[in-house]
This record gives sequence, structure tokens and C-alpha cells, in this order.
Amino acid sequence: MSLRGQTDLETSSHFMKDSMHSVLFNVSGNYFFGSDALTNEFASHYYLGKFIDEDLKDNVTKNLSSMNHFGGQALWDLSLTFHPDTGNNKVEAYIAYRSRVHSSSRFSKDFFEIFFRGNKMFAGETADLSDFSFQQFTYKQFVFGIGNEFSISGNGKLYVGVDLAINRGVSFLDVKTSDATLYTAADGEFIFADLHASIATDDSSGQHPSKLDGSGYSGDLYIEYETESSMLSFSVENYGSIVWNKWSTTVNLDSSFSFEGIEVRDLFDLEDSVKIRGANLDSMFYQNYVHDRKEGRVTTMLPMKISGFYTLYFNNRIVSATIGMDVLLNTNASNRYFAGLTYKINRSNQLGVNLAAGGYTTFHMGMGITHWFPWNVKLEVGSNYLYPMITYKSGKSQGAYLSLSKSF
Amino acid sequence: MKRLLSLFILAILLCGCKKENDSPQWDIAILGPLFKTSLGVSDLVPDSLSHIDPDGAVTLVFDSNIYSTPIDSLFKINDTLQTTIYLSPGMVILQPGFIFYSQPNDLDLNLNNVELSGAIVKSGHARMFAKNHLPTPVIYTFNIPKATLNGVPFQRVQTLAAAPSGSYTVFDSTFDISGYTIDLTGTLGTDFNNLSYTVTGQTAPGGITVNLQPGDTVVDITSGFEALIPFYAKGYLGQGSVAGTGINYLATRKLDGGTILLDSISATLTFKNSVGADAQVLLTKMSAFNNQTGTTIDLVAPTLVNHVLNLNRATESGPPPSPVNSTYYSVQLDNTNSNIIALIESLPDRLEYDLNFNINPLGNVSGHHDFLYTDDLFDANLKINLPLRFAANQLLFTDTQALAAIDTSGDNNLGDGIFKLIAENGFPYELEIQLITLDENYNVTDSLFVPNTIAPAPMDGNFRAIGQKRTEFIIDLPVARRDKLLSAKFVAIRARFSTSGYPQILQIYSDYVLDLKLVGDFIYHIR
Repeated sequence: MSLRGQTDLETSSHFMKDSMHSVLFNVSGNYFFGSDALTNEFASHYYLGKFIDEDLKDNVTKNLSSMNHFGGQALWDLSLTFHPDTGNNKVEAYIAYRSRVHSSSRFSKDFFEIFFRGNKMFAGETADLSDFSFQQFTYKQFVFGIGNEFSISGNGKLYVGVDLAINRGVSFLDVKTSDATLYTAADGEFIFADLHASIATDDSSGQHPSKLDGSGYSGDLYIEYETESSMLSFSVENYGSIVWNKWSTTVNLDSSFSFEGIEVRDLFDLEDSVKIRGANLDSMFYQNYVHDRKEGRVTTMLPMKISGFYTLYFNNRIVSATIGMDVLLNTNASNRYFAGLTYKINRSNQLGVNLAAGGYTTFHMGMGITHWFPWNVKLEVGSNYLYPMITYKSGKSQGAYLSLSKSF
Repeated sequence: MKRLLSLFILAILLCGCKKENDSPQWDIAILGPLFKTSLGVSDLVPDSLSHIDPDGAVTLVFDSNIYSTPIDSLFKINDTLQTTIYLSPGMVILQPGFIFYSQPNDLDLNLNNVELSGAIVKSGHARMFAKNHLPTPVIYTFNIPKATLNGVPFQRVQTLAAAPSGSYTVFDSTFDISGYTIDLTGTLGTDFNNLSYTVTGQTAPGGITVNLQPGDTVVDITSGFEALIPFYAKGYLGQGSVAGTGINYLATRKLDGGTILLDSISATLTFKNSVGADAQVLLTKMSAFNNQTGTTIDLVAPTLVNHVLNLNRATESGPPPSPVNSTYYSVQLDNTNSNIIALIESLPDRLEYDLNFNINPLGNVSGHHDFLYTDDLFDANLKINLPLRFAANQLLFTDTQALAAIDTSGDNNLGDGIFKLIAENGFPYELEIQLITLDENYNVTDSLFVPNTIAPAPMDGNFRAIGQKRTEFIIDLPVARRDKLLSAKFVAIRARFSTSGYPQILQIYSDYVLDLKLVGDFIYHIR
């Protein structure tokens, strides 16, 4: 079982360590959602377009602290690892195609309540919407990498691999607020907003002929030191950026305004004033308060992971134990700590369990199974969030991964 | 076991992944302002109809033309067409280029006792309808020697094609003479109303020689003038009278009941004479009609009604079209010399006037030097200064207006809710507003705002409003009711107001304002 499968940006083992094989073909996919406030039931209803009732909101409200987070990712990956020099099994090359969607957010308690319950509950109060962040990226990667195996001491081997990915951006949205408050008068007579925010997004009309809205590069670094009884791993994944094209839009809001209603100038002209055709708050807001709107290239850093873990092998590698931590950067996550245990049941099956805390969510526990089919076909399937998924109404994370590989 | 495990894992991955809707859905509770408006004196009475004193007191100024004499009220020029047919008396030979017809015509415009020496044509045309019976082309020339435009006499030349054997060719056309100055003194220059012109006929110089037999038609022509309207006329305008009736409809026709007490009023009826002739005017009747109550009040004003008023003749400031120096005669009416207050307090929806203008009561004293511009003859103007200082009791204003069609496709996201109308009343009036929605057949579908009354602003010891009084109405608006409102085709407005402390008379000041704000408290469905 891989321990790289939850907040992971890379799902399969990067190195082809089995010296008996020269080519490894892998297809894999995973998704996860994690939050320290949003429940699985809430997230599922949101994603599946179901109606979110008050009970669902109440279950989230119970979890809310002053600042909350959620993150999620969907990834599928097609890769080929091979030895380019048939006479040297220590050098390997790596080619992959990846499709990724990543979203994450940091939000205050008041933001959730305003967004999902409206402003009425804040009558006579000020809702604090400060320090909000939401970002979502959809992009594809063409990855080329190379790795090498170095013999360090008696039975120690050092694996080093680097990848370079060409990124093609599909869409992005990045919303941030610094100081932002919304005051609703007790009787609703006016709403006062103090907004300091920026919104950046790609060209939704797809003006670029390729329909791709951005491009960029990113890189991965993998280092593993392995002996007969242990392995120490360190990796930096997805360090890079995407430059979104010149039709991208950035809107900066730095204004305070009081909204006291749409002014009806001629009350007696009923044809125009009693029913206002096509009036909407979006256009009112945009026309009156959004002035700093720019069109131009925007550069965004991609979600990036730095991880390290240590594994001990026991009983001729039938059992292994791992501890580690990782951190996701540029994506509203906190450090994640994890530990895992694997047990090889027989030649064909291996079972693994893991415990973790951090990232976007709280404690979670998972289980996975690896099955080796004949003809060097390997299937890895599982979830690192089985515990929160079982506690569906109160659990705050979910995910699953599936990997199918064939080596020659 | 393996299969079961596989199925379990697949179930984890696939179950529940089907989307019910494209977007997530939930309800939010919105509380916030929707619309606001302020109604001040300038919103109720246009600036052009009001006067504001230095202390802010507002006076309503009603200034309206109540009568203008029609353009043809003093004289009218009738159409004048005359037909000439000449037959050949014997065997006649017409050589090419031969003038076979030249006939001066002196038309009498037949204006009764009006004797015009000249005129400038505002609109109208000369007409020539000719038939050519000759087997050679014929040239007709229409001349008006005494009609000039920029010093050039009027002349039109028209060629008719040769007639086919046993038949004829026809020409029928009109010639615009707008703007021409016409001397109407005839060929001798001593006559009046005489419009002289000539028509000549000539065989075409390039045509053939024509041998006429006895009885052959040589000339067959109809000529004259049609639809002549002068812009300016000079001469003696005769003696006569112009009777007229004027009607003015007032905005008060939307008042449907109640009483009003006025403090004071002044009215000025002004007669204007823009005609260069002496005149007299007689107002025989001025009545105020209230169709709602069926009451009619006649103006009683001895200095005006059935009292002959002499209007001096206007003078010219220069040759036409120089401005005219009109003369005026004004009569002031107030509560000391008329019943004008009672007449206005009856809340008339229309005023009617019977007038009679007599021209040149002393005859031709100008020696044919009267003049007129037909678009500006006699006028009567009524100006009423009504200080908005009154007491009103249950004054009811009603109106029905069509509502614009509305695209309701975007309104399905609105759920149940209430709306709150907040009124901050700066007028010392108690207001009761009711909106009644109607369908396309004017059937009532709903009613809003009642039973609720907007309270009047408090007043100081001088009966001047101080500050504003706040009143809130709650309008329950569940989805079903909202749909009825959105489908309404008309709205009937009933606004009833009374001044505080009736019959205490109160002055309206320009700083009085009624602020209205609509606050929504409703469920919004996020879709």
C-alpha cells in the first residue's frame, strides 16, 4: 500500500526497483476531500447537486472554528517507466500524462454562515469575512523524468529521480480577502460592506485558439535511501507554476460602501419603476463598486508537496511500519503526520492500514489492499479515509485510490 | 472473499457518484434593502409649475393658454379654378412658334368685407390642367406677375406632346407657391383681393404647321389656385366676430373625493391681440366642472364676465416676418372680486370658457393698413397662483396604470418572505396608500398596504412640520402571492390624505420629504 495517496500529488511509486523488469506501465487515479469543518455528507450533497438542508448546515456549524479549511483533489495518471539503456538497469526514464483538479479554501465561521444561511442571522451584527481564500485549478501535465540508482554502502541503495512537467492550464479561480466585513442593519435598512479582496480567473470565453488558458512548468524531486531493513524517503513534488494567458481577469476590491436599496427616481412612472426589468444585484454591484478590473497575464503557483517518511521492514519484509509527515504549500493546508503498517498476507496479497492527522482535516484512518495478478499485473485499491467515510454524517474527509500496473 | 472485497471497493468508488443536479442547491435567508425613493415637493409638482418663496413656502403656478383663435377664423381663401375652351371659328393655319392663346385672369378671392392688398403664402399651389387637341406639341406658360420670391416673379413652362389623330394629350400639375409674396391690387394696382395671372399657349417652334377646321378645339385649359393659406396678410381685415370655446382639463380629474379648504388664490386672465386691428373681447362664461361630484360652478367676476374689454391693435416692428408687437389686457381675480376660491375648491376636473372677439369695431380706421400673421391672432391665457397652503380632508387620489411586462424567469429563486415598507414622512399629512393589482380584465387580484396609514410629521407651534415620522408596514409575501403580483397587468392606486388638525390650514414647504424604503426579508433559493 502506498502512503502517498491522500493529500498526494503522486499516487504510484516513482521508482521501478524490481531489477527483473525493464518496463512498468501504470494507470492510476485518486480523489480526496478533506476538511476540518465540512462533513462528508455536506460535501457529497454539494458535489452531487443535492439540496443542502438546515440539518446538514447544523452539522457543519458544530465543527466551525474561527478559521476553517477544506481541500480536495481529483487526479488520474498514465505513466510509463523504463530503462533507456538496456545494459544498465540502474537508470530509468519516466513519461507520464496527468490530469488534475485541485481546490482548496480557508474560510471563517461567519463566511460559511453568510454563504450557506444568508445575512439575516447577522442582523445588527458584523460578519467577519477576512482572510478568506478559495482557489481551484484544473490543468494537465506532460511529464518527463529520469532516475538513477546509486549503491552507497554494503546493502544501501540511493534512488534519485527528477521530473520536469509541461503544464497546460484549463481553468483557475483564485479569490482572496484581507480585511472584509459585512454589517447588516438590525432592521435590514442598509448593508455596509468593507471589502478588500482580489479575484483572479482565467478567460472563460476561451479566446485562445487552443482553448487552453495557461501554460507553465513544474518539477519533482524524489530521493529514497533504502537498505534491507529500512527506507528513508524525501520528495518535493509539483514545484512550479502556470502563467495564465493575457485574457485572464483580475479584479481588486478596496472599497467600503453602504447599500440602501436601488433608488427609484420616478415613482409615478409605473411602467419603469414598479417592476424593474432585468435589475439584479450583480450588475448593480459590479457597476457601482468594482472599478479596478484588469485583463492580463496571471501567474499562479501550483499546489506543492514536500514529504518525508521512514519505513522499517520486519520479518523479511512481510511486515513494514512507516512514520512520516508532509506539507502542502500554496494550497491552504497544514502539516500532515501519518503512520502506517503493512502486512503481506501471501504471495498475492498485501494489506495495509494507516493513521494520519493534519492536512485539511483531523484524524483519519484508512485501509488498502494490493493484489498481484499473474503476468506481473498489480492492483492497488483502497482509501485512506475509511474511518471518516464510515461515519458519513460527521466524518470530514473521504477519498479513494486505484492503481493498476503491469511490468515487463 | 476476493470477489466480495472487490465489489466492496468498487462500490466505494462508484456508489453515490451520480449528480442529481448540475449545481448544488440550498436556501439562504436574505435581509436587506431593495428599493428606496424620496418624494419631495419637486417630485409632486414639476419645477416649471411651482414657485418657492425665500422661506420655502411653495406656490403652485398654473399657467396655461386657454384659447387661441384658429388660423382661418378671420377669413378663408376659397379654391379658385376656372376653365377656358376655345374652338376654331374657321379655317386657321397655325405656324410653328405661333402664340395662339394669351389670357390675363383677375381672380377675386371673395373675402366678404375683408379687403387684402397683399399676402405672403404659407402654403398652397397653383394648378394647371390642360388638354392639347392639336397635332403638334404645345407650350403653355403659367405666369403670376405680381407673385415674387426673392424678387423673381412666378413662372412655370410646360410642353404638351402633339395629340394623336382624333384624340388629345393631357397635362395636369400643381405648382407650389409657398413663400411667394403676392400683390393683390390687381393689374391696375388699385384693387383688393385681386390675384391676377396669365396663361399663354404657343405651338412648339420645332413642330408642324397646323390647319384648323371650323369647330376644332384650340384651347382646353383649367387653371387657378387651391388650398391657399396666407402666412401674412395686409389690408383691411373687415368687421366681424370670432366666437370660441376653450376647455382645460386639470390633473384634479384623478381626485375621487374629499374636501379641500384654500387659504388664498390669485388668478390672472390675460388676452393678447397680435392682429394689426382694433378688437374687443367678451368672456361670456367661465365654468368649473367636477365630473365626480356632478357640480358646476360659474365664475362670478363683474369686472370680467360679460364685460367688454378693448384690445388695442398690434404693431409691426418691421417688414414681414419681423416680430409683432402684441398688445395685452389682463384682469386680476382674487377672493375680493370673484368667487375664484370656491371655484377651485370644488376640485374641478375641467374649466370651460365662452369667448367672443370682435374685430375693427370702429371700421376701417387704418386705411387698409391692418395686418395679421395667421399663426398668431388672438389668445387668452389663464395663470393661477395657488399657494400650497390648504387643509384637506380625506382627499382621495385614484389612478390606474398599466404595468410593464416582466421577465419572471429569474424570479423562481425567490421563496417565501415578507417585505417591510418604511415610510419617513416629513409632510404634516396623514397618508393612506393602497395598491390594487388587476388582471387583464381589470379584475382585482390582490391589494397591498392596507389597512395601514402613514402617520403625519409632527408640527411646531407655527404649524410647520418638524422632522419626519416613521411608519412601517409589513407585507406578507408567500410565493403564491408573489406570483399573483408578478402576473398583474394593471395597478390601481388609491392614495387618501388628510392634513393634520383639519380644518387648520397648513403651508407646504419645499423641504418636506417623504422617504420610502422597501426592505426584504425572504428566502432565496440558491440554484
